Amino acid sequence: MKESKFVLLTFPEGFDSLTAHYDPSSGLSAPNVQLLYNSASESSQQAYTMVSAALNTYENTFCNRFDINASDDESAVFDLASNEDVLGNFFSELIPMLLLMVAFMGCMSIAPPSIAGEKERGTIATLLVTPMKRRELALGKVLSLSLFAMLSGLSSFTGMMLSLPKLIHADELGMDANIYQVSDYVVLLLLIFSTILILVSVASIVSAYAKSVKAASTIMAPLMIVVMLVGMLPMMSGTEVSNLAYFAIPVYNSVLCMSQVFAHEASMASIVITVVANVLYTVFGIWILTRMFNSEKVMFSK
Amino acid sequence: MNEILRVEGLSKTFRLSRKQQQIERTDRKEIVAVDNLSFTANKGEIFGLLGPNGAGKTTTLRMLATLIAPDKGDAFIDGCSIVSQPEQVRAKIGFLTSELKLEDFFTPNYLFDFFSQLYGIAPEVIAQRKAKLFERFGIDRFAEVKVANLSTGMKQKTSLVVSLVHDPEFVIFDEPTNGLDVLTARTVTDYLQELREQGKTIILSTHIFSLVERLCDRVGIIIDGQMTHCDTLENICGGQSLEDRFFDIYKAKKGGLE
Ligand SMILES: Nc1ncnc2c1ncn2[C@@H]1O[C@H](COP(=O)(O)OP(=O)(O)OP(=O)(O)O)[C@@H](O)[C@H]1O
Ligand SMILES: [Mg+2]
Repeated sequence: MKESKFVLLTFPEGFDSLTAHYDPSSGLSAPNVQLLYNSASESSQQAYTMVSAALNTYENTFCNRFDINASDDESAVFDLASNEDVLGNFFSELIPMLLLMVAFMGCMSIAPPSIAGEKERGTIATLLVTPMKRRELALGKVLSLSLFAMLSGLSSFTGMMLSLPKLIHADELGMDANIYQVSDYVVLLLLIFSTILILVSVASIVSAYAKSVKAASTIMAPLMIVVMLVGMLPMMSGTEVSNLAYFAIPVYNSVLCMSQVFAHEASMASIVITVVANVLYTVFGIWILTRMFNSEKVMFSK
Repeated sequence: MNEILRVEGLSKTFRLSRKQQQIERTDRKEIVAVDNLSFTANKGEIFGLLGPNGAGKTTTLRMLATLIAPDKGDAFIDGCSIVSQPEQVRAKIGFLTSELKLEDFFTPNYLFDFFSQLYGIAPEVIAQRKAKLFERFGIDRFAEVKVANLSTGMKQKTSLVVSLVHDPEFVIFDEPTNGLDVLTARTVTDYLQELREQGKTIILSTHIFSLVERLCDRVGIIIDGQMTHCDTLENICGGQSLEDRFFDIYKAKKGGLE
C-alpha cells in the first residue's frame, strides 16, 4: 500500500437501498463509506481530498443519509501511511530547507572575512604580487571555504538528525526515526557538499566584488532570501518531478533531491544530474572569481 | 652597462568616482597619473624616482610590479613584459610598499615560510635564508609574536623580509623610509646598499632629496606623471644641490611654485 497513489472506496452492501431507507432521525448510525488512502503519497492525499469532497456534496443533496469514515472504534485507521512514510514525509519537507539555511549561513559567515576582509586589510595585494596563479588562488579559496562550511554544516546536520526525533516526540508516537541507511546518508552528504560548493562560489564572488566585509554581508542578506525561496519551492510544488532538467537548476535541484532521498523516492539519475550540475556551476564560479582576482578595478576598488 | 629594465611609453589614467572628485576637489572625470613615461635602469644600480606628492611614482611602481596594468605602453624587466608575462615578472621581482599588508593573525616565522613556499623554494634554502634575514633585521627577537602585536617598525621589517624571501634580482621599493625612525630607516638604506653590492637592481621612489643623494646612482624626476629628467645625479645637478636643481626644474615645468 506504500506505493499506492490511489484511494480505496468501500461502500456497504446495498448502499443505494440503505441510504434510501435510512432515517437520520432514527438515532441509528448511518450507512458508512470507507476511504482508505496514504497521506505520505501526495497523489493519494489529493485523491482522498477530492473524493471525500465529492461524497460530501453528494451526501448533502439527500439529507445526510450516509457517513464517510465514521467509526465507533478509536483504533480504526483509514490513513494507510506507515510511520516510516509519515516521518519520511516530514523529514523530506523540512530538513532540506533547514540544511540549506544552515549551509548558507555557514558560507555567509566565512566568505566575506576571507575575501572582502583580505581586500579591506590589504593582505590580498601581498598574495597578488607573488607568482601564485590567480586561478589557484580562486580554487584554493573556494575549496578551503567549502571544507570549513561543510564541517560546520556537518555538525549542524548531525545535531539536527539526532535531536529531531526528540523534537517531534517520535518515540511517544511509536515512530522509529532510523529509517535511513548509510547509503542515504552518503548521498545526502554528497548533495550537501555540492550545494555548499555553489553557495561558497556565490558568496566568494560577492565578497570579491564588495569593498568591505560589511558591504559583502549587506549584499548577502537579500541573496539569502532568494536562496530560501528557491529552497522552499519543492515544499510547495511537491517532490514528484516529471522532467529531469529541473535537476540542473542550482539550489532548487539540491533541495528537491534531498527531499526525495528523505522520502525514499530518489533516483540515481536525479542525484547524478544534481551533483554534476552543481560541480559545473562551481567551476564556472571559480572562473568568474579568477577573472575578478585578475581585475585591478575589482581588487583595488576603494 | 647592462640594461635590466626598459620602460616604454607607460601611461595610466584613472577614472574618478564622484567621491574621489570631492576628495581631489576637481570636477574632472579622469586623472592622468602617469603620462607616456620612458626610462631604463641598469643592472646593479639604485635608480630613484623623485617627485612631489601625486606625481605618479607609486602608480608607476605598481604597474612595474604588475598589480595594475598600464593603459598604454609596456615595460620589460629582465626581458619579461609586465603586460604579457606578468607571472614571470612577479617571480623575478620583490615589491616593497606599505600597501602590502600581512595578516595580523600570523607570526613573522610562519609568514616567511608561507610566502617562501608560494615561490616554491626548497626547505633547506628557506631555513638558511630565514636565519640570515631575521638576524640581519633583528626579527629573531619577535619571530613568534603575532603581527597584530608588532610595532610599525617591526611590521615594516617583517614586510620587507617577506618580500625578499625569493632573493629577487630586481627590487621595487616605494618610499623605503616612510614611517620609520632614523635607526630603522638606516638599517633599511644600509641593506639596500648591501643588495646593490650583491649585484641586485633596485628601483625606489621618494620625495626625500637626501635619500636620493645618499643612495641613488641615477635619478628620474617625475612631475605630473611625466619624466622631465633622467640621468646620473651629477649630470642632473651640474654642481647645484639636488634640492635647488629640483625647484628650478619644477618652476620651469609648472611656471612657479603654487
Ligand atoms: N586608484 C586610483 N584611482 C584614482 N586616482 C588615483 C588612483 N591611484 C592614484 N591616483 C591618482 O594618481 C595620481 C598619482 O598618484 P600616485 O600615488 O602615483 O602619486 P605619488 O607620486 O606616489 O605620490 P606620493 O608622493 O604622495 O606618494 C594622484 O593624483 C592620485 O590621486
Ligand atoms: Mg606614493
